[in-house]
Amino acid sequence: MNRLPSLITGITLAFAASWLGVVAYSYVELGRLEPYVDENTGEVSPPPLPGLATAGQRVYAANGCVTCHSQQVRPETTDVEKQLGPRPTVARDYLRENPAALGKLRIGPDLTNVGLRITDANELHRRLYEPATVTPGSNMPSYRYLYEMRKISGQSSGQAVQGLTGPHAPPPGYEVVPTEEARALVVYLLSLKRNYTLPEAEPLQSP
Amino acid sequence: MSALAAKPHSVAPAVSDASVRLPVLLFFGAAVFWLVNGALLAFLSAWKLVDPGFLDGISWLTYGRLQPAAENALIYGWASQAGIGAGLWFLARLGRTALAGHRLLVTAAVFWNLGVVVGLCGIVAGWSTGIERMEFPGFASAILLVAYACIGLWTFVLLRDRSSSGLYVSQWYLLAAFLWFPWFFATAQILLVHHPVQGSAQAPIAAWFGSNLIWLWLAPLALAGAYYVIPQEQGRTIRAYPWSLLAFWGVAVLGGWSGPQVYLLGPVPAWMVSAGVAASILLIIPVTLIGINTFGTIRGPVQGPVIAFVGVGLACMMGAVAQNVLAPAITLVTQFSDYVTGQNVLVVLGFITMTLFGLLYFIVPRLTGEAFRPGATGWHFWLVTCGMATSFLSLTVGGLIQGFALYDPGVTFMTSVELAWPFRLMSAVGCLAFFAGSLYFALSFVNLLLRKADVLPPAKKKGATV
Ligand code: HEC
Repeated sequence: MNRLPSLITGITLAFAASWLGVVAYSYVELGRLEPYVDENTGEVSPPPLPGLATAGQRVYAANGCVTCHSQQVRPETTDVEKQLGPRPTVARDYLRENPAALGKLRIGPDLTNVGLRITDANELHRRLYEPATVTPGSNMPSYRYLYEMRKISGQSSGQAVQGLTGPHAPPPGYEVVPTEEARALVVYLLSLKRNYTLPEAEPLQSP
Repeated sequence: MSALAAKPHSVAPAVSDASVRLPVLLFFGAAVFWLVNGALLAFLSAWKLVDPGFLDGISWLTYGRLQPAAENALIYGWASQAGIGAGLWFLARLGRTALAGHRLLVTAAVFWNLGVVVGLCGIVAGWSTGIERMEFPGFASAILLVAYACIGLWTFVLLRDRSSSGLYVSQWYLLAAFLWFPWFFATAQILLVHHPVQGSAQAPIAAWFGSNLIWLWLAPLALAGAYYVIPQEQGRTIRAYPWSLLAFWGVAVLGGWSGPQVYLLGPVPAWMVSAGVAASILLIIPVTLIGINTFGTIRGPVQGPVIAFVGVGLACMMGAVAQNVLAPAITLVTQFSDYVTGQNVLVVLGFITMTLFGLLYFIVPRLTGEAFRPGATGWHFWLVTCGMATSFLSLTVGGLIQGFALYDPGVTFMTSVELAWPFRLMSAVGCLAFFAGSLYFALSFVNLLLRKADVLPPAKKKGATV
């Protein structure tokens, strides 16, 4: 092995093994997974994402929500019992995610099924605008920069966030309106629900 | 290193040093610049976890952008460039060869840094890809790859033109690292950023990338240096040298497989996770051999910063792999907790960064003919070592507590946040000490360069007088 060509061959082979085993396998096997179509109801799982949700994924990625929030519910743990979701997640659940934000940390709660826990867009806007006013002691950052504070001229726009409190709540005569990005992000969060069944997944458990 | 019998056209160390001086110092200078910035960003993001009101509501300073910016600055700005610079110097020295010209390498260094600047600006401006350690937007990574092409080419030329027969283990590691990096970096970039595969397949590829970045890129660069500087400093050959080659193959084969272990019980194929767990545990074998090679060669009281830093670095490496061995027993609790961040601190700031510090203390005085001021070295050593250790220990202990809280169905989520708080505070203090130590090092590095500039007339004048 003290000659360059044989050393290079060895180095290449050692690397090629994991390259084929992990990358090529994932590419070929997982990359070709298809949505499951129920033969009786015609229901597609996971369901297609609403248009804005795809844009919302980009906002989620760009602002690093994944640095604090995981998106995976594990089997054989207390995850389901802690109501992170009705069943553990499987590879096919991430079919429509790009990027798939599985995450490595739970500095904040798991968001795999946040759309099941929080169904009201306004509440999500309130949390994003000033998290500590909704959950005292929260160390989630404020995403005020995804919102615009506007003077109300004439009629208030139908989109304003309701029920804001705290130091950054709009003063009288003003309203806080989500930007396109904030609206996309909330549509994405609302879409996060794994309450459909897949043949390879465990059955749903009611909370 | 007696195996390296010189062939007739071999060049003197001074000549090979002179041929790589400019590019190596350029890589080092830039690396130290990013070290300071990365350490500062790491402190700021750690602080934001304990004091979320600090600088809040500003898009480019939000935690989710600052934290990746810190990681990427430390990995691509600091560690990669320090490793590349050191690698070039070792290749020239070990091969007793001289670089034919340094213009291409200097250009490559400039482009690499351009890539880092664009990438970091991209992250804080809100174009992050959201994939761990690949957050640089696609165009910034493309710049890095182009810059890398020139660097990789030159390392290969340096190896081919070596005038010593035989290859020392440092050269094995360097050759391997410089071959692996473009392969795994380009693979992951293409499959996750430029033409993303569908979501189900992304997690294993991202995990594979993460372990490659450490074990097939930064670790080989650091280890190549450790195998060179330890025998030099100690004036004896590596103990049980043949084992070092065995260890090399161990790292080469296991490094890439160890990644998927982060998704234990996660939505990736179970066999892949098992392979990942097995590989990350088996890494203890090569790492033990490396420990015997290196610590077995160090005898007598530690003198000088080189052995001190490299010793701490290698000890951290062994600690981090020991954590892998422990993992199956505790992962259910530690997964998703600050314990994970703690292990990351041990690897990036402990193993990689400490070892690289040692290499810089070895190389820079030889390249410039100027010594570091001894007083500054001590401050640097203790600040970064204690800072790193404080951060690691508090995150590890805090992570265990937080992990139990996260696991226990009877405990609310906010309780886990409250329990983690004091440990996160300690960790932020550790990061601050680490930043202070890094700044200290940067100042003494600049001081050394300035003294050097005093002694030597500028390049142009020198040319005129000869
Ligand atoms: C610094 C870490 C951090 C970051 C970054 C972060 N969060 Fe959070 N998040 C938390 C914490 C802690 C909580 C729990 C306390 C609370 O409810 O505010 C939380 C709670 C939430 C909740 C409520 C979840 C529930 O089930 O009650 C949502 C929704 C949420 N975050 C969305 C986001 C989004 C979207 C982003 C990115 C734009 C984000 N978070 C970024 C830490 C973070």
